[in-house]
Formats: sequence, structure tokens, C-alpha cells
Amino acid sequence: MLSIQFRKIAVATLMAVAAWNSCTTKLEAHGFEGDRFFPPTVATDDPFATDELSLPTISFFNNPASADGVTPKTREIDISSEFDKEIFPKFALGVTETEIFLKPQGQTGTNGFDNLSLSAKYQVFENAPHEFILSVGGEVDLGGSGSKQIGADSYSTYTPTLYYGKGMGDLPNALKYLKPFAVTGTLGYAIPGEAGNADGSLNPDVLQWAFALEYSLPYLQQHVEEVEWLRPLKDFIPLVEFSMETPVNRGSGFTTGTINPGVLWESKYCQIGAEAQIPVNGSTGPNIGAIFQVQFFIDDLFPKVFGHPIFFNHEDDDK
Amino acid sequence: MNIIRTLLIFILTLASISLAEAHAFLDHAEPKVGSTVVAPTQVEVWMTMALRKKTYTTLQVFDAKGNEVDKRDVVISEATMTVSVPKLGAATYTVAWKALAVCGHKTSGTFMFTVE
Repeated sequence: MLSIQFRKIAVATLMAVAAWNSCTTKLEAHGFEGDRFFPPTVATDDPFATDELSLPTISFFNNPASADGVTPKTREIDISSEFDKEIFPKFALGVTETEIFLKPQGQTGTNGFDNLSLSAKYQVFENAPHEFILSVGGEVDLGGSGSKQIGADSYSTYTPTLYYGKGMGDLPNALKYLKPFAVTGTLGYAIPGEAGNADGSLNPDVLQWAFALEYSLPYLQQHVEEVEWLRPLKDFIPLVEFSMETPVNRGSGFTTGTINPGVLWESKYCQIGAEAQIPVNGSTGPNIGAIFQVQFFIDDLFPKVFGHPIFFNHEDDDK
Repeated sequence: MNIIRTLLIFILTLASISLAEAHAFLDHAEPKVGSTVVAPTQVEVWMTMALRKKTYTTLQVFDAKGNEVDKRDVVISEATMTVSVPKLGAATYTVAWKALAVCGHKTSGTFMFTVE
């Protein structure tokens, strides 16, 4: 009951304030820094505090058996959604919910919601000519709001996070074909609300580090050189994401993570992303997984409601 | 898995409505982005959606020193912007565009071309 109430309150609050803000104003395009469009990436949270809706993100992955052999190799399918709303200029709140389907080898499958996650992000520094942005924020996973069946933590986890993005459009013209490159990344420190569990196991703090290296064909075509034979691919952004976690105390453990090569495709109202998930070591998983994501550009779908902050939005339509 | 199938159908239907961007981005230009040309008489850009004829919507051409060299006679028609230029000497020039699209979104961008 508690978890349902958490979800209802969080989602209803964000949707209500978004709906309330239905004034007609000029909109800043999402995810831009100078000439650079930083797309929302699949595994790495982008640095922009803007209105976003990912629905859904679906990942398929095989988890390794536990070292003590108690838990067998388990196939996991996650279906998640994230909604972010700009509240003040450059400040956004978000909510993420994930349903997890688990199928341990040789056992009956189970499913349930993971803990509800709430996030906040503020853009603290931007440099348009150098296509650079730095944001700070964090995330709280609400302990006890998820299903015990899928092993959702009973304690909350707090993750202060640094977000950054840098485009290479300021390179000299002699290196013009490198200008479409950009990197976005996050550096977070996850602090569990409880250091240990009833069974004696420990919950370490975890350094979460992730980044995405992308080559934007739209940027190449629009700002560097129009390449005729690449026009059919002008809406594609190939990229590689690195999503890693390193426990740092309480017995620690191995760094785990995946390297995700893939592609993003930009269309009128949404972006579709598809990536492979290659485990970096045996502690991460035995097989290659896959992840798909659809990001709706809700500021384009509903421009009167989304695409601008709820408070202190003083843009003048005639300028 | 039926939920996934339904979502995929919905998403693909929505995505296939149009490949054009909802924001006004540069589709192509003349002179072409990054091209080397004989001195043009005008610069024209085709955007991916219609523009509002507001103060924000502009098209400018600058020389390497940052001086504006166009004739400041921008003509906006639907999704295109055109500005005349005097006879340009051999050099590299920067085109800067700003677009307020009919959907209300602002975008801007730059590209260069070279006159031989």
C-alpha cells in the first residue's frame, strides 16, 4: 500500500504542476548548447534539466549466479519509464519507475516494481561557444516502495550526482570531421540508508560512473559539411555508452558494468535508441544483453504544457 | 509481452508520422554547408519547418574577423530564409541563423563556406 501511495503522489504531483503551467510562451529547444544538440542517451542520464519522457526503456540481461551458488543465473527484463519536468529555469524534478521480470534458471519466474526513484537536477554552468554544460543533482531510491519479490531494497539510497556534456565543435577546422563528436557523462556516489542487512551482508557505498561517446551525423550535416551520400542517415547518432559501478567500502567488491554500442534515431516527436549491453567482466554477467528506449519530445507533442519551466518563465514571444 | 508489442506499435506509428524535425533545424543550404564555391550573390537556408517572422528569426553572414558582410535584407518565406551578399572575396565565411519555429521553439546554428 505504501509503495502505491508513493507512486500516486509523485506522479500526480508532477503531472498536476505540468498541466497547471499551460501558458503560451516561446520555448527553448531541449538539449542544446550552442550548435550542439545533446540527445538524451539510453544508459547515461543527460545533463539537461528539461521536460523529458522516456516510455519505455526495456532491457534484457542475464545476471550471473551468485558466488555462493544460492542464486542461479537469472534472466532479467526491466521495463521502466522516466518523467522529468522543469520546475524553475534550469531546475527539474523527475520520477522513475521500473517493473522487473526475473526468471532464475530452473525456477519459476517472478516480477514486481522496483523502488520508486525521485531525482532533481540543476544546470549550474553553460558555455555555448564551447558546447559545454555542467549540472548537479541527485537521486533518491525510496526504500520499501518496491516489491520484495524481486528483491527491492528495504532501505533508501541517496545518490548525489554530477552531470556534464561537452561537444567538440570548437576544434579547429583542420580537425573538422572530429567536430561531431561529443561526450556526456555522470559521476554519482550512491549512499545506502542502511550499512547492513538482517542476514549480515553489507551495503557498500557505490561510485557510479557513466559516459556516452557519440558522433552526431545531424551535427556533421548541419554545421560541418553536407555529405550527400550520408543524407539518408542524417537523423542517426551512433554512440557507445559506458555504464559502470564501483563499490568503495564495507567489503566492497568488483567493478561491474556494461559497454553499450548502439545508435539513436531522431524523429519528429520521439527518439528511438537501441544498444547492445556487453558485460565488462564475469561479475557483471555471462552474456550480451540489449536495451531499447523511446524518448518522447513532450515539448513538441504538447508545446503549451511542456518545454518551459512552471515558475519564473518570463520569455517574450516577440523577441 | 503483449504490453511490449502494443507499446512498440504505438511508438512506431507515432515515429512514422513524419521524419521532419518538430524544431526548426537546418535541412540544407546554398552555398552548401562546408562547401567551396565561386562568389555567391545570396545565401539561402532551408529549415525543417515553417518559421515565424519575428525579430528572433534572422540570417547573417560574417567574415573571418566577425564583421557582418550581408546586405541585411533577410527574406523569410515559410521554411526558408534568404539574405543577399555583395561580391565576396576569397575567404571563409560564417553563416549564422536563428529560427523561431511555428511550434514556438527557438533554435540557432552556424556553418561555414569558402569562396575561392
